[in-house]
Amino acid sequence: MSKAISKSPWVVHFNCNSCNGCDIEFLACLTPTYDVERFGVLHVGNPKHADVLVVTGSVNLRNRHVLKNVYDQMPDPKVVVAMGICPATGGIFADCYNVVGGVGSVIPVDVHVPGCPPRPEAMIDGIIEAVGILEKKRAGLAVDPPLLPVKTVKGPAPSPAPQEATEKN
Amino acid sequence: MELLEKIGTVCLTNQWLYAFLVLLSAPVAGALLTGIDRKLTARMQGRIGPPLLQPFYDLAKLFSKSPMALHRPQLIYATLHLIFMMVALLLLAQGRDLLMVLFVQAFSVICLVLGGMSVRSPYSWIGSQRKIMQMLGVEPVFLLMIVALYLRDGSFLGSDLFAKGEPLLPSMPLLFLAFLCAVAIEFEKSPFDLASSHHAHQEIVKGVTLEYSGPFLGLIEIAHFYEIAFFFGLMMAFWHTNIIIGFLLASAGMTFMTILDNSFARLTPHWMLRFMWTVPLSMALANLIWLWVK
Amino acid sequence: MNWISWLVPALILLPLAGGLLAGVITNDRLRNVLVSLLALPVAAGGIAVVCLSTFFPGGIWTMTVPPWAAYAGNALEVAIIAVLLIVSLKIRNAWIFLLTLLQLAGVAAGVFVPADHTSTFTLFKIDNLARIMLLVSCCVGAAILLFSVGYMKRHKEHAPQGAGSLQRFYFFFLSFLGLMIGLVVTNHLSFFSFFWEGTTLCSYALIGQDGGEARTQNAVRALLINSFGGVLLVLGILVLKIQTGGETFNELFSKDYFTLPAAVLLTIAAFTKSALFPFQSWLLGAMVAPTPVSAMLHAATMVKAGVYLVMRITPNFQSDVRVTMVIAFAGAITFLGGALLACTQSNGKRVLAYSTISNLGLVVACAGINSPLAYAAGLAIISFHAISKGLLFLCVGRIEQEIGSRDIEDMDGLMFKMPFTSLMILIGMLSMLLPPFGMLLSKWLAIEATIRSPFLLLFMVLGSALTVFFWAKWIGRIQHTGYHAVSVKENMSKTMKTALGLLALMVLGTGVTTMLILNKVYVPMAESVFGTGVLLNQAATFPALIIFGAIAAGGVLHYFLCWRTFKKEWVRMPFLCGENVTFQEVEGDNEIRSYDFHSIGGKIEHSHVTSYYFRGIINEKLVTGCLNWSAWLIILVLIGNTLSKTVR
Repeated sequence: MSKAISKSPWVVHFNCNSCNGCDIEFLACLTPTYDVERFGVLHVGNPKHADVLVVTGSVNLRNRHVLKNVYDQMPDPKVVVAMGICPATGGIFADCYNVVGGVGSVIPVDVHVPGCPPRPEAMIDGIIEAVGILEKKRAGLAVDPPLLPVKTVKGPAPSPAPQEATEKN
Repeated sequence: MELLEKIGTVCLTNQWLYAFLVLLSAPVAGALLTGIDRKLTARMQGRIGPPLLQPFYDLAKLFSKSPMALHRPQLIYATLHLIFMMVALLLLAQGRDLLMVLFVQAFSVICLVLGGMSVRSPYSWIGSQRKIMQMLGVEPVFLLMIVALYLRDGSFLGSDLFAKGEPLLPSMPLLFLAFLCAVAIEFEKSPFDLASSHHAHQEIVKGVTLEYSGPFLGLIEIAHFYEIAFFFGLMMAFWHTNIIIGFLLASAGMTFMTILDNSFARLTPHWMLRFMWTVPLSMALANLIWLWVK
Repeated sequence: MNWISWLVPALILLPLAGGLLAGVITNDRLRNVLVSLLALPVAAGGIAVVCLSTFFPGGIWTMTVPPWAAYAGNALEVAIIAVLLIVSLKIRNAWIFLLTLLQLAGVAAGVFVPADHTSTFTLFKIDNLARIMLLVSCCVGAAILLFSVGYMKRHKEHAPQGAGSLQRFYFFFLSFLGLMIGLVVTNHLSFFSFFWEGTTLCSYALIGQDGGEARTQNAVRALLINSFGGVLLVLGILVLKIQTGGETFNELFSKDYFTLPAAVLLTIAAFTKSALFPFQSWLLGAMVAPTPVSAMLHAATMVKAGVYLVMRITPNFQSDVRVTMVIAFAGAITFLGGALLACTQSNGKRVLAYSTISNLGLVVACAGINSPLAYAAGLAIISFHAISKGLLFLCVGRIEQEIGSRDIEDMDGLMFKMPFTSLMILIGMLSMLLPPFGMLLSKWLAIEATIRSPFLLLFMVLGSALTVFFWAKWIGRIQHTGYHAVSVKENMSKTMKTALGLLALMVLGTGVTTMLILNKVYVPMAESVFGTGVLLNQAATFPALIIFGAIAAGGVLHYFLCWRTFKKEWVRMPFLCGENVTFQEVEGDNEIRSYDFHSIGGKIEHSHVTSYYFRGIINEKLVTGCLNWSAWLIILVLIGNTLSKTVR
C-alpha cells in the first residue's frame, strides 16, 4: 500500500511566472521519446488529484496566493518539484519590481531541478527523486522543508487583498 | 480436473458464493481491461506506456492518500454510485430482468451526476450537465436493445436469454454497433469524452469527478471498473453460446473503442446528442423493426 | 338499509358541508381550525371506505335507489349548468355561453329519452378503480387541505389587489374535493356529469382566485376548454342513452349496452380534463393559482378525473384494437411532448405541470395498450404520481413563498437555506427516478407492456430518457451548496410541516413496499378487470431485497467510515484554478459564496453557471404547435375510425 504511491505519482503542473521554456521541456517528457507514463506518471490538470506539484517560473505578487491555493488543495502526502532556475531563486527575473523570489518562499519545495531550461531527462530524474521523498512522507520519515526568506520588494506597493488572503492562511 | 469441475458447480449453484465471486472478480477484470487499454493506447502512440497493473497501483495510491472533501452529501453520492453499479452488475450476473438492470445502472450514473452537482464548482457543474446530456443520448439505445432482446426471445429475463441456443449478433448486428457507440459514451471515450476524460485533462479540467480526491476518487474508480465489467459482460452476451467467441467479440469491441478514442478529437455535447438521436438510434430502430417483422 | 351504506354519501357531503361552513365563517382562526380538523375525517373516511369495502364487499355499498332518482341527477346537472351559464354571461364570453347552452340542450334531450331499465338502479360503484381513486383523493387531498391552512394565511398577507377572500377560497377548495370524491364513486352518468361540471366550475373559480387580468384570462381558458369537454361528455351520455338506453357505468360496461361512439366521445372528454395534447394549455395556465390549488388540480382532483374515466372505459374496448391503439398514441405523444417541453423550462411550476401532463399521457397510453399488465401500470402511475406530485407542488409553493421566485435557477443551494423543505422536495424528486420507488417501477412496467408495438415504444423510450434529464437538473440545483459548519434552522408553520412530512412518509412508505403493492393489489385488480392472468412473472422476481440490502449495507458502512469520521479539516474550497476565495475569507458567512474568485486587483467577483435548457435549440411555441397539430390529427383519426365502424 505504501509502495503504491511511488508507482503512480500524478503530476499537476503550475506555470507561475515562467517564460514557457521549462513548460515546453516538461511537456516533452510526455512525448514518445521520453514517455514519462512508463513510471505511472499521469499529467492531471487538478491539484485535488495530484501527488506532485511541478512549478516553473518565479513567484510574483499577483500569483503567490494562487500558488498557495493550488498547493493547499492537494491532499497529503504531497511533494513539490521546482523546475528550472527561476523557481529556485527567481532566476533572471529576480530583480524585477514585482517578483517575490523563488517558489520556496511561498511553499516548501522538496526537489530543485536547476537549468534554464533543464533537460527532460533531468526533469524525469527530479520527479523520480520526488517520488522517493513522497514515499518517505507517506511513511512519516520525511517532513516538509522550511520556507525560504522572501525577497525584499522594491517598487510600488502591491495590491492589498490577495496579500491579506495569503497571510491569513 | 474433477475437483475443478466440482468447485465450479458449487460456485455456480451457491447463490451467496456466486454473488461474492462476481463482486470480487469484476473490479479486477475491469482494472485489467483499463490497464490493457492504457498500454494499447501507449503503443498506438509509439510509447512504451505504463505497466499492465498500473490501475491497481493508482487505486492503492488513492486509498493511501488523506481524505479531502467539499461537504458530506458529496461523499454519499460517491458511495451510492458504487453501490448501484455493484447491484447492476450483480443483477446482470444473476440473469434478472434486463430492463431493470439498466435502470439500476442508469441510476448509478445519476448518483455520480448528483454528486458532481452537489458541490459549488463550475467545472464539476458543467461536467455533470454534460453527463446528463450523455445519458439522454445513451438511454434510448440501451432500452431499445433490451426491447429487441424481448422481440427475439419473448422475455426480459437475462436467464432466459442465456438459455436460448442461438447467438444474438447475427440477428442484431446494427444494434451491436449502436450499442458500441453508447458504451463509448459511458466509458468517456473520444469523441464523446465530454463530461470527464481519462487522459490529459480537458477544458473543464476533470468534469464530474473534479472535486473528488483521494479515497473518494478511489470509490468512483472502483465503480468505473465495475461499469467496465458490466458492459464487457453485456458485449459478451451478444455471443453467449460460445464463451470464447463472446470474449473475442467483447475484446474486439473494447479495441474498437480504444482506436476510436485515439483517432478522434473531442466534439461538442450538442453534436453528441444529435448524433446519438439520429444515427445509432435509427440503426437500433431499423434492427428492431426487422426483428419485429420477422 | 345498513348504516354502513351511508358512509359513502357522508364522505361526499362532508367536504361540501365543510365548504359551505367555511364560506360562511368570517373569523379566520375558526375557519383554519375547521379546515385543519376536516382533513382528518376526510382521510380517515376514505381509508375506512376502502378497507371496509374490500373486506365486506357486496350490495351494501352501492345504495339501490328507485328510477326517479335519475331525475334528481338531471336536476343537479341543470343546476350546475345554469350556474355556468350565469358565469359565462358575467364574463361575456360567447363561446363558453354557446358551449354551455349546448350542454343544457344535451341534458334536456337526455331527460326525454326513455331509459332502458324501469326498475331500480345503484347509485354508487365501489370497485377497485374507485377504491384507488378514493384513496388518492382523500389522503393526498387531506394533506393538501392541511397545508393550505398555513399557506393561505401567509398568502393573504401578500395577496395582490383584487384577490378573492379566504371564505370564497375555502368554499370552492373544499367543494372541489367533495365533488371529486363524488365523481369517482358515482355510478349513474347524470350524477357523474354533475360532479364533472362541478369540478370545472371549482377549478375556474380557484384559478381566478387572486384576480388580475392574466389570472382571469387563464381561468377563462380553463373554463372554455373544459366546457368543450363537458359538451362531449353530455353528448356521449346522450348517444349512449339513445342507442342502448343505458345510463349508468354498470350498463356501459356490459356487452349489451356498450356503444363505440359514446365511449369515444367520453374518452375525448377525458382528454380535455386530463390536459392531454392538444388541450394542455389550460393546465399550464392554471399555474397562476395559489399553490394548494395547483397541487389539488395535479395530484388529487381534476386531471385525475380524466384518466379515471379513460381507465374506466378502455377495458371494454376489447374487440376494437385499432381504436384503443389510437388512444394509446394520443397518450404516448403527450408523454414524449410533455417530457421534452419540461426539459426546456426553468420555471419550477411549469416543469411540474409538463411532467404531470407527461405522466397523464403515460396513463392514457397504458390504458390504450389495454393489456392487464398495462392496466396495472396505469393504476400504479395514477397513485404513485399523485403522492409524489402533491409533495412536489406543496414544496415548490413553500419555496416560492420563502424566496419569492419559482425559477429553478433561483433555488440555487436551497439545501442550506431551507433544509427541511429541500429534503422533502428531494424525496419527491428522487422518488421519480430511484429504482425501488413507484414511479420508476411503473415506467418500467409501462415499457414492458408496450413491447408489442415498436413505434409506441419509441415514444416511451425517448420520453423516459427525457424525464431523467429534467429531474436530475433540478435536484442538482437545489443541493448545489458549499460547506457550512452550522446548519440553518427553518421556520415554518406546523400545519405545513405536518402536511409535507405526511406526504413524504407516504412517498417513502409506498416506495419501500412498491413491489408488494404491485403484486398484491394492482395485479389482482387488473386480472379481475380483464379476467385473464397478467404476465408478471418478471415483476414477481423484482430484486427489491437486493437493492434494499445493498443500500442498507452501504449506508451503514458509509455512516461509520465517512459520515461519522468527517472532519472540518477535510474541507477545501472547490478548484477555481487557484483564484478561489479561501475558506477563512467566507467563514461565518451565511451566503453560499464558493463560486467567488479573486479577479484583478484582488477584487472578489461573483459568478453563476446555469443549467442546460436547450435554449435556442427547442422553441417551446414551435414544438407545442407541432404537437398540438399531431394530437388533433390523432383525435381526428380516432373519430374517423369510430365513424367508419359505426356506419358499417
